[in-house]
Amino acid sequence: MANLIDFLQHQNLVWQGTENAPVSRQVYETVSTGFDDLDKQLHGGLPKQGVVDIQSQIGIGELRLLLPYLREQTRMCAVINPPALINAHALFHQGVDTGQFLVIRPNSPQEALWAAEQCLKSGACSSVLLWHGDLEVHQVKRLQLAAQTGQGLICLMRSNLTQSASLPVCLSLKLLPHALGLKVQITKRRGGWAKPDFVLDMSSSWPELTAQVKVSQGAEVVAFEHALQQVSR
Amino acid sequence: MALWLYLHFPQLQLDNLYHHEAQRQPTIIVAGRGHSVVQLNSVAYDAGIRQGMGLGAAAATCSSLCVHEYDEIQTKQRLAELAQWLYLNTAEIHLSGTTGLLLKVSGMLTMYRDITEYWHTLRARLHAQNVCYHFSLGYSPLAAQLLAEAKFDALCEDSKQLEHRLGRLPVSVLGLPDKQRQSLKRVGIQSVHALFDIPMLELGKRFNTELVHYVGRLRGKLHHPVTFYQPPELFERQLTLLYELENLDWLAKPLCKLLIQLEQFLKLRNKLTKSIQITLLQRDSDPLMLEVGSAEGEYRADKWQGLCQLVLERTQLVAPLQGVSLAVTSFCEPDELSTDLFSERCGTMTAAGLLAVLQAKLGESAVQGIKPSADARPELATTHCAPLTSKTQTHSKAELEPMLRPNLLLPQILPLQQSVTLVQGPERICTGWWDGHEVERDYFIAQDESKRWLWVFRDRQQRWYLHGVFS
Repeated sequence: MANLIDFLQHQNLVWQGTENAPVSRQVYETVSTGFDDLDKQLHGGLPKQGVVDIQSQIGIGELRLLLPYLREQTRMCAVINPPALINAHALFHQGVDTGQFLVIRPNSPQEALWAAEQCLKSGACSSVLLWHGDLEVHQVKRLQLAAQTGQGLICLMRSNLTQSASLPVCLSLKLLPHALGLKVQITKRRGGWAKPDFVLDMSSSWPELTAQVKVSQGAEVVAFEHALQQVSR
Repeated sequence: MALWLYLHFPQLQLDNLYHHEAQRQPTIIVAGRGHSVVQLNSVAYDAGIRQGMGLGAAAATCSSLCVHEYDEIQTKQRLAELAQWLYLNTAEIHLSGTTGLLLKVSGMLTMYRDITEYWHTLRARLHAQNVCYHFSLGYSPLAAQLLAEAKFDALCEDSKQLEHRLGRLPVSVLGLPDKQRQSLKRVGIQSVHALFDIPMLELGKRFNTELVHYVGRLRGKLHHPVTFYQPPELFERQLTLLYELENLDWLAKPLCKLLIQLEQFLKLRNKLTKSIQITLLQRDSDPLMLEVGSAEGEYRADKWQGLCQLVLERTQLVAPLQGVSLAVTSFCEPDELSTDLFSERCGTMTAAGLLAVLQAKLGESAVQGIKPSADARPELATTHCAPLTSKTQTHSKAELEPMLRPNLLLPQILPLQQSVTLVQGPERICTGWWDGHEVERDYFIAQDESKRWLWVFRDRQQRWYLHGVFS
């Protein structure tokens, strides 16, 4: 009997309710980042499940890079150990449903990792943003397994890096500030080669936060003391 | 015919009073507009006070009188307590008014050798409760009640003798309207016996159907509907440990025992519970109460065990543990999850389940949801709320003019330390004069030397502050 089913399956004669193959057997799937340029560079976008390592200093647009992706998610988004308060007002104005957000402030790095693993494993969260310092290889592997169980994506937001060892992640991005938006360096991508750096243009989504408009119109670069005099009427 | 036992408690409230104090003082309980005596103890009786006496007369008879007012709610509550106490021996108990319990005996006799043994058990139980009572058996609920109220107090199951005793009662004790009793007396019917002598048909012709029904129920010929007492659903178990525990890790096994009992309890009733209370009894110190919650209802012992473990990890004992008790007071119905038959189930938990785990380990305040609120002050525009409670907002772009706000706000406003380049602004926010948190700020988007996008503002005194980061 089992042989027969196997045979029919090989012949593609059996229709399966679960989209042809069980999830565990599915290949590396991607989901759009919302930026066409980035999607092209990443051959489709972010991985649908797994660990993404984002190395960036805080405040250059690393969250904005993920916002179009988060906007499309239907399951919860867990934000673990953010460096400051998440501003619901800002998310609201950028069209993100804040009802899906779960802000977790753990007391220790161990608890943060534990919470991340629970969120991923549960299947209730489609994405987890984790701000964490140094991570060990085995910790990342554990997160990777949890992400597979719950089919979620975890983004490790890391700013001041002291370690250089490569982690077993699906995708590793390094972000640098740029006048047009962000300079993205793909240091690692599963199933692909490293690519040269490229500039992600964010001026259409956030014109105010790209410097080029103002600079071209001749806005002076003022030091703090000068700014004081300039703006006081 | 079914055999009934009626227990009549004439002075429940008085008995309750004496439960605590042993000193004997003449005590009466008064009720009604005239404050007539309805319950009195033997000391008061010896002093000359009688039932039905007015309060004034009673006070004049005895100088050191303790007077209480009749409390119906308390009496009813006490009666329900007694019913629950007797429920261990009798399955079918009916609460009759505020003073009586009707027990269906015939169903229970299969459990006991004979009625004497049954009564012996009941009497021992009642004795523990320290109440005064009168009792009687009867082949109809009404007959048992009338005999008990007439203080028959004998365990007699012979129907002839019971009917004879019933027949000797005067008509005035029957639970009939006054007018009815008057009309019976007028035709010379003084006792129940005389009433029983008249054939039912004649009775129907002479009097109204109400009386016929009453007599029919009294003689057990007509059905007498009774509702039986159901004890309230409540789970409470206590476990005394065989030896004292100092390490909470070792509590897992004993606790598991209780949780399995809970699982069986809930499974039988097809119920779930959202929170359980664990009480840790410590030597020579106050018991420690822990509340473990699960946002989605749960009954399985292993799930509760996992949650309890997380809570116990955060708990510290003051003294060695001598016992543990588990209580559940509220239950909920399981809600049917409509899951797709075909979609492969991913993950191990629902959102509510995840929340329960996170909150058990990290504490309630560490896990929160966020929602925007209508306030122009940026620090008040985000409110923290219980997770999964804020509704999905429908974002209509036409209605709202999008505002540029930083994704990250500093928890506290900091004085600006580094030199920055102002890129855009100002945007003045001047509001809040009504609630004591007044702001007057000019906000600018700025970039610092390492090209980070900052949200800075200048207050009225021209001081500069950093408030957010455009992450």
